[in-house]
Amino acid sequence: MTAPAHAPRINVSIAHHDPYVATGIAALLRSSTDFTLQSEGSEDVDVLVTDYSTGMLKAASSTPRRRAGKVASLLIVSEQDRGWQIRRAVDAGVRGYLLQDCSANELADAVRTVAQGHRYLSRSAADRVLDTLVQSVPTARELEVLQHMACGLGNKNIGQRLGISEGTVKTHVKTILAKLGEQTRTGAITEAIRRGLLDCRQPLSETTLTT
Amino acid sequence: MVQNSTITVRVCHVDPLVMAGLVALLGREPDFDVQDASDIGQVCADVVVTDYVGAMGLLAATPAGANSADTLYRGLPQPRIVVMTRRDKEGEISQALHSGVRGYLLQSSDPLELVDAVRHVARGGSHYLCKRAAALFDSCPPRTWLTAREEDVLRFLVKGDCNKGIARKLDISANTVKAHVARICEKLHVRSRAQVAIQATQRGLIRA
Repeated sequence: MTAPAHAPRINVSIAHHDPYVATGIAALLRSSTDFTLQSEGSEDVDVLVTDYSTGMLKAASSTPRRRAGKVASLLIVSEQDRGWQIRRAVDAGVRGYLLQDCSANELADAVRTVAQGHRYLSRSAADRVLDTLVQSVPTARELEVLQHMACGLGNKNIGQRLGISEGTVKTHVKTILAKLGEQTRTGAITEAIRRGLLDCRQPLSETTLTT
Repeated sequence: MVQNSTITVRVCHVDPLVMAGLVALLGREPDFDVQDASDIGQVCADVVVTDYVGAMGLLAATPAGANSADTLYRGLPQPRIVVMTRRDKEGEISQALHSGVRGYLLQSSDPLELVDAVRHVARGGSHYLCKRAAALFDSCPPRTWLTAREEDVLRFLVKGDCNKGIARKLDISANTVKAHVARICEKLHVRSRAQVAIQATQRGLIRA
């Protein structure tokens, strides 16, 4: 990581929940001469390197009151590699996005690019974002149906729960299968988990199922 | 506690950032001799700290160490491996431990646990799990474990095959498949194929 000659020094601060990644980022940036590491919460920071949730939080808190003072550009280093998650981060005002398997050079490149006021997506992150432009994403209603499908409910039951007819559910299911490129319900559910479309941490519980 | 002796630690991790972090954190311990290695193959270190895939590859290359039937490896100690990973599925943790991994740490663990794990494993101890990995591992009761045949059925079920399709592929009757699926549902405490697919995917019950 050779620093470009006569480049201004860039003040970088790190707020990352993964202690190993945080230490790694610090060690790698320290080995390059054009970065100055600042402690977290310091006033004069050009680039703040964070994990996904911290980054989203900081983005949300800095947007509404963009004071005259300097606002650090956010650079996320994350294992969250779904295209829509990256898009959501960019939407929120994050300037750069790296996946956690990025190289030392990519990291340094990203910090410099973001410090200059540009945006940066690592190659793999850009790949994922571009994927979302060509994949058709299920609508909100279809996702609701999918979530119920994942509980093993039949069309009739799903219809009752959502207050729609069985025929409508059938149509939704057909569209979901087509959008996910699968031929069976179970295949669709597996694919949905893979793409991160199902909220698996809060599956509809057994009790909701039996009522 | 190993005293007055140096522990050589070979670090090799697929993510450059984690690699740098591991080298920096382990390097702070005065009695650790940290080798920053891009080639995991040389096994002359006391402890190897690596990622999940690297660990499994290394263990596959040095089968069962001293007990190996292969004369080439007989007598050679099996490498003492500590895995540092984000893989937090109980199926993966248990598979790693069964394959001979000595320590399993999630990247959410405290760096103190990493240092502890390296010392523990260097002493010849086995099965050092970080707190969260231990909790995950405990949550998987042995009776959850599926028979080899049930795993075969599960693999196809998750892909979305129907019982008849699975029967054809495994060359058994559809009724046998039905019985297997019922058994799998029972073991996983769920009531539908869809939920079986979700559980299996989330808990890492399908072996690669």
